[in-house]
Amino acid sequence: MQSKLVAAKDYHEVALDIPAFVPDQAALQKELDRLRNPYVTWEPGGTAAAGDMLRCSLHSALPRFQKDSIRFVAGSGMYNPTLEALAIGMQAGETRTATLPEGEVALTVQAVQKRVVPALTDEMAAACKLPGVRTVAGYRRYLLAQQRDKAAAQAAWTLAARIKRAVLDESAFVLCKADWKQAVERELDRCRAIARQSGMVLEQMTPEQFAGNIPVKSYAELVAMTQDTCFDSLRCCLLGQHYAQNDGFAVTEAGYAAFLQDYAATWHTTAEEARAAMPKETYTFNQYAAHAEEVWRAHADRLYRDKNPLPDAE
Amino acid sequence: MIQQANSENFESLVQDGFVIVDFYGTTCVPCKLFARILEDLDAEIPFLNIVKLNTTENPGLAEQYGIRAVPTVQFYKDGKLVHSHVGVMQPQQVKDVIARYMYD
Repeated sequence: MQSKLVAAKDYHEVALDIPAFVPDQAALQKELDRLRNPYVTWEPGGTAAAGDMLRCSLHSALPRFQKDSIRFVAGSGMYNPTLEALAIGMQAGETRTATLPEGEVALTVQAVQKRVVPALTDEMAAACKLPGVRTVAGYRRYLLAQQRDKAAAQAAWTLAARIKRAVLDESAFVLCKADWKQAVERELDRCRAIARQSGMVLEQMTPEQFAGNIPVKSYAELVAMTQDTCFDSLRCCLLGQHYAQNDGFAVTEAGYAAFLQDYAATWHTTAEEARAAMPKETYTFNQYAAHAEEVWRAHADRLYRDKNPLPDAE
Repeated sequence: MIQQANSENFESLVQDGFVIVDFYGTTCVPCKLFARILEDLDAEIPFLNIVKLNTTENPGLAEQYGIRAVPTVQFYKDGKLVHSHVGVMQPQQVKDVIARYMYD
């Protein structure tokens, strides 16, 4: 490759507006409440409330609502919303009548089982057997960490895209047209091989054949898109090689062999066809380009986490 | 109550009453999501009979019951299949099926 990186814009210097992590408190509380599920008990007696388990008899001219004994949980939405609502506030032995669209139904409560949910304890949290989690506070921190990891991953992609734009725009390159052309031809060759393996001819593919595979409607559109993306990926490749000199990243034969094996298994094809779709030169070029993107993503991820630290561990 | 089924006890577990069967796979992520939904339902409605069958470990049984994707949720009333759903069901969707078949 004749193209060269003359001066790389330091990606650490790219100004970024790092978003603040906003925990989803409702989701957090729901997960904490889940800890109590195995400890819920049911006690007889009292006035029925939403969530209590009831045994009732129904009397009606409608056969469907003529039952000696049925069980349901009041307010759960598992039986009949009107009858479930009617039962709330009733005690064992009490009868009330509801008018359903189908007709009248008399409901007599035979027994009430009160749902008793214990207070959250550290023992419940410890029973999860999560590494390092011994208390409710520790479990809350664990859940917060999960939420933050997810938010960091999402934010990192957006931030990395901004870093990429700034670094590509503000670095200095000597770019040879022949290298760009070769990158475009390699990518089109890759698409051509994949199309061939699917029984299609890339240059003759119809909009219907492109749909769901490549976001273009014709070969001409694909060429235009590839020329545009390869201008970026050529520069990313040069930057990826530059970063690799310092961070030890390397494209290896073993990595290429593993890729071919994985590709063949994923696409149910042979190693030869995998090699045709992704020759070593294309693989190497793509790996260095991807390495630059990974460096920027990891940097963005670090920045997000630094700005949004978790509370101290228990 | 949630019970784990295998090829030896599956038929007997779905034989009586209203039973929800969760056909799941070991590495299936949506299956893990649905497992949590079932756990919540079990805590909310303790008299539900829920049976889980690992299709990764019981491929023959999965084939016998026509399972093509996981999770697949089947509902049995006294041993007879009354409803089947492929994919994760939301809690209210499960309750709607319960309301439709459990009390008939």
